[in-house]
Amino acid sequence: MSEQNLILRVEGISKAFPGVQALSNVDLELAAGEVLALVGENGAGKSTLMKILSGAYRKDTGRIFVGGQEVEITGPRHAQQLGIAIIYQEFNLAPNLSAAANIFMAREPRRPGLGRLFVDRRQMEQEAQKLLDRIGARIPASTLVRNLSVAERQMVEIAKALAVDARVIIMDEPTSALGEDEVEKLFEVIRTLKQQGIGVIFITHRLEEVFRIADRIVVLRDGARVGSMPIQEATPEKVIQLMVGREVGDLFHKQKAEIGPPLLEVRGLTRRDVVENVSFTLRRGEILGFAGLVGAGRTETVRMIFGADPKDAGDILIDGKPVTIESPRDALAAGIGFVPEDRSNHGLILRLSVLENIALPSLDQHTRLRVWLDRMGLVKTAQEFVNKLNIRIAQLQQKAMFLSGGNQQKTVVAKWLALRPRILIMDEPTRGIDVGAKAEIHALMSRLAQDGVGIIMVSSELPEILGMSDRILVMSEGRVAAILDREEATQELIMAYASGEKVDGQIVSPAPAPTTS
Amino acid sequence: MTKTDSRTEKSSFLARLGRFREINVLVALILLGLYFYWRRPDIFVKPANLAVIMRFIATFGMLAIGEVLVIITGGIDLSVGSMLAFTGVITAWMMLKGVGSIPPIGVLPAILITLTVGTLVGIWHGTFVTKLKIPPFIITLGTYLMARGLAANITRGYPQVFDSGHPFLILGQGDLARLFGWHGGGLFGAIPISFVILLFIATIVYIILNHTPLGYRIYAVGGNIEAARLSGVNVDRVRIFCYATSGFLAALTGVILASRLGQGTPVVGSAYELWAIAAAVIGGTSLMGGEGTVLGAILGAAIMGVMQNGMVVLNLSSYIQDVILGMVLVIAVVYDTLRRGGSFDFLKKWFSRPA
Repeated sequence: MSEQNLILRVEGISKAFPGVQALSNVDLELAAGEVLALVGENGAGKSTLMKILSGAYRKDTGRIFVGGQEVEITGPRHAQQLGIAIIYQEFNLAPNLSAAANIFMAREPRRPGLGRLFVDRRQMEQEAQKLLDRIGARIPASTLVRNLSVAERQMVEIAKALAVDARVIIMDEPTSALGEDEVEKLFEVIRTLKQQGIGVIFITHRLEEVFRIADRIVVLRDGARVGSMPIQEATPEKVIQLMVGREVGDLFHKQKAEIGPPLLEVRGLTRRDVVENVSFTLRRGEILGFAGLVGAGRTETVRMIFGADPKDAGDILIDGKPVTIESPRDALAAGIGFVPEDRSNHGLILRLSVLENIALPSLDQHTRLRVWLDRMGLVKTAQEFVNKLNIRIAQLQQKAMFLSGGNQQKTVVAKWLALRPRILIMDEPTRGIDVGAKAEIHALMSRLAQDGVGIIMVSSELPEILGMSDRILVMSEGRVAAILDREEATQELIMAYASGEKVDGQIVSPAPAPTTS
Repeated sequence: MTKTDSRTEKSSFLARLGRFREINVLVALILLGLYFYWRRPDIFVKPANLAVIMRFIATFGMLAIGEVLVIITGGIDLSVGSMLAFTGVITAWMMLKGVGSIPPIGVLPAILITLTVGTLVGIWHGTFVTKLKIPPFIITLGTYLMARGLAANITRGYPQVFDSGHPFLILGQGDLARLFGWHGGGLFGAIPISFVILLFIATIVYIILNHTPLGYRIYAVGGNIEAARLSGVNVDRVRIFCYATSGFLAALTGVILASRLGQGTPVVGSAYELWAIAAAVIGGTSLMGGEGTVLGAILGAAIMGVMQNGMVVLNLSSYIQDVILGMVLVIAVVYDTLRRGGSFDFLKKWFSRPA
């Protein structure tokens, strides 16, 4: 790699937070037109490094060179001026403005002369359209952002970065909210950027994507760079080994558990335009995987079962007896726990401590005379589950916001386990968490199943679905497309049902036919 | 959040002290007191003057506790000042004139009915906020207008005055010495009954916030209402409880003030809600929700009480007094924001030459 080609070079960056050395002496190089995958477990320092580059954090030591010039990045605006743009998992777009207005936010083209007071809307939309076309996004620039899909919003973010002449675009987990075909579209955009000489740093947990798109892989572990290699020299096993620093056996594997009698029966669950007539049975000790594309209605279905959202129709039976679940409180009382998809907004109260988070659902079990809180009992229970789930914290009073993704997720699980649920619903239980924590959560799910808990697991990762589920319910467009046994399920078969290519045992092609059920 | 931090177990006493947010307010309070004592030792610490300060703290401390509860859950209660007038008037009305054909009733029943009315108004607020999703600012603003209007309508503008010697007046005017018949009780005897009531209420609310499931849930709702709901918390009930408590405390304060003034009058308590909010905020309550303590509310009220009284003792013009109190509020919030992880970096930027 020649020196001239490098658009970004980072030397010996270190950054400490109180009690944690987030980065120590990290180097990074990025060439024009290169796609660099940055991988590592949660807490490995990827986000910290990216935040330093984008000006959100200041480095403690080290040097940064942009286009050969040493720079001291003073803030997000400065990073932008230097041509470094970051696209976060949560977008920074105003939903009620058009794509064009978002792309040119705060830099809107003006009319000449006195017209400077006014935005030249036509010019703005033309310019925005050029940028969108340049990355191959088929979005009219005048569309309101709230009417765009997640993938399309991402394109708007990328166009926004290009509008300020970004030469380095950092993408933080860009694919985590995308369906399979949307990922491919994003990759096309990345290839276009590459051809135009833009350097892309791509952070992801999905290794398979790394091998599809990256030119080079840099692996971080515990704040240090532990490997860097061209993609030709990398193998998934090698990368995982570098990430975790240990051999990983079979990542997804449910241990044998005795499948008992039906525990939860759902009949005809419906919410207009979202979920239609979903029925299934969950047995004791069973893990039922919910597969499907993004938007197929899986999350909506499980939220209705838990009483988080209202349903239009449908019955829920536990142990064969009908139960009324109209709120999460009812679900709790019926012995159902729910680990939501969005752990930082729905799963945890980030400002409260781990102790308080774990205690929240089971407060009533830890009272004297139902009024006075038994704090010692709470601490004991919380500590028990912190130990059992191997949640790495300095003390129970640590605020949830300072935990890594994996430890946050384990805390969410812990708060439900403290309630000893009979049914546990887990929506994307391992999304965005590191390989080690993932394996621990899978092992935990196995143990719970062996103890007779029935588990519903919504997941967008097919290997996880195939490895962990006893049976797989495939949803497509709000309906149950198929319920498959572990033995008959394959990635191809699930995808065929999920995408609507295959319905009720027959291949539908080429045009989608009306469903028979 | 201080609530959590002060619970930290394995840390040295000093470390705990540093994280104990209220310590800042307490230090400020002591410094203020020392300053006024230094300027006017002859007046400032006289039992009679201290009693004035304690009455002030009793009034605004009580209202601030109600505001803290509501503000923790991410709401606001603008009605309390008008509720003081309304509840003071109906108490006096029931005791002195009677309602319609019903003859006047005794002191205790009148107080109980008034407290119930205050609580019901709070429940009304909470119900609109939770079930109908009306912004708390709006629904309590409605009561702000309605309550004072009703109070004026009931009295036709004239205060309902108690005869001196009416037993009801002990509540607001009495002190411990008079209550127990002590003579020459000095400072201790001069403690107003209303201040004792404040300490009692504060203890109860402190226990609720720190030792009951409800308290944990109040902080949980304030921290993240959706996560709380998905954890099985009855978020509506928690919020209604907070508004109801604020209404109850406004009524209690209204009764005490009517007793103190010897009359039920529709002009009392104007802008008290804003003073109560200021006290809560000075005491470290975050208007963003999720944070706030009872102790902070009382200390905030104490700061304002000492400031206000001290400035009177120093003979400052009342116009300047308001300017200074406003500055204290701003300084307190800026200091607290910076202490909590804001930074003084912007100062560096202002005072350094461009790179």
